[in-house]
Amino acid sequence: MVKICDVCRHVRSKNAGPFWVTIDFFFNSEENFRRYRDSPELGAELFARMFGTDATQVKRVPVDTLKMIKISYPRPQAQGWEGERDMHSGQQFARLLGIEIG
Amino acid sequence: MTKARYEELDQRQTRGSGSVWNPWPYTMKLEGARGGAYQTIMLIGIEDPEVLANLDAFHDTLQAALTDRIVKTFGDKAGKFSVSLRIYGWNGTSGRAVPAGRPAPADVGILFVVTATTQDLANRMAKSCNPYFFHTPLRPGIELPSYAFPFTPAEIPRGQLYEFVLNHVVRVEDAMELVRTEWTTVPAAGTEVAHG
Repeated sequence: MVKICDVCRHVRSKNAGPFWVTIDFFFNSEENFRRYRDSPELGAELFARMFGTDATQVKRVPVDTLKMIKISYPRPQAQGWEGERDMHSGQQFARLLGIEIG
Repeated sequence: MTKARYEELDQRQTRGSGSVWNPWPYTMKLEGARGGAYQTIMLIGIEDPEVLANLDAFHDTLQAALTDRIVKTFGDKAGKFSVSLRIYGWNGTSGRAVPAGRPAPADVGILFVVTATTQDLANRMAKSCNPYFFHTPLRPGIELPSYAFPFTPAEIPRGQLYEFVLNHVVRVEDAMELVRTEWTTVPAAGTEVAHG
């Protein structure tokens, strides 16, 4: 099985305001980008499962010229809540690297 | 931005172009936070291999012991509180379940975070948990261990929590409508200024 880290040269996450997180997937080839650009394996359900977000609110923006996809989702709790572990969401990408995507 | 185009020029440079300016009723974004509960933290280090080989069980034992300690010590006066234990070196960053078979680390730090309605309560809860955080054994009946406190007193008041609670867009007639402006005259360079 192919994992996200096998088809991307770089994956990163960051807070996008206090209520949203955005994750960038930079693919390592035109072929892999085309394969996953609109694939359901990187769909809203994955983000609902991995981050507890509302699948209906997940936004997906492919940028063809950069062979990358930007995916944003609302945080289940706002930045800085009592159980906060990653204030700026910089480590949220890590749990995705090993996800199998076909 | 829907027409914006981004091109990779080389390893370091990206060109952005094509974004379009569309006149639109002026809006102002409002984000606001409010002060909430208070936190006090403590930290221990553990190198005991038996604990390191059973970190999930140890987490649950410690969580139960500390919560029970606060309930028994403070009773109804505890108010709304929570105890969070984060094992750095194991799963502290995410708090997610660790897949079976992951090898034990050589060293972990456990961060204790108590959240309570006042700073004084949070401090006193941490103090009452201190001996349990320091000495709770992996299993009942074994000799009491002492984990590694990096400093003493161990508890650190962390202050108040501020949580984002406001996320609004306001329509305004003019960009400066809701903005207060105060003008200050800055003296010329080299001029002596009396502070008062």
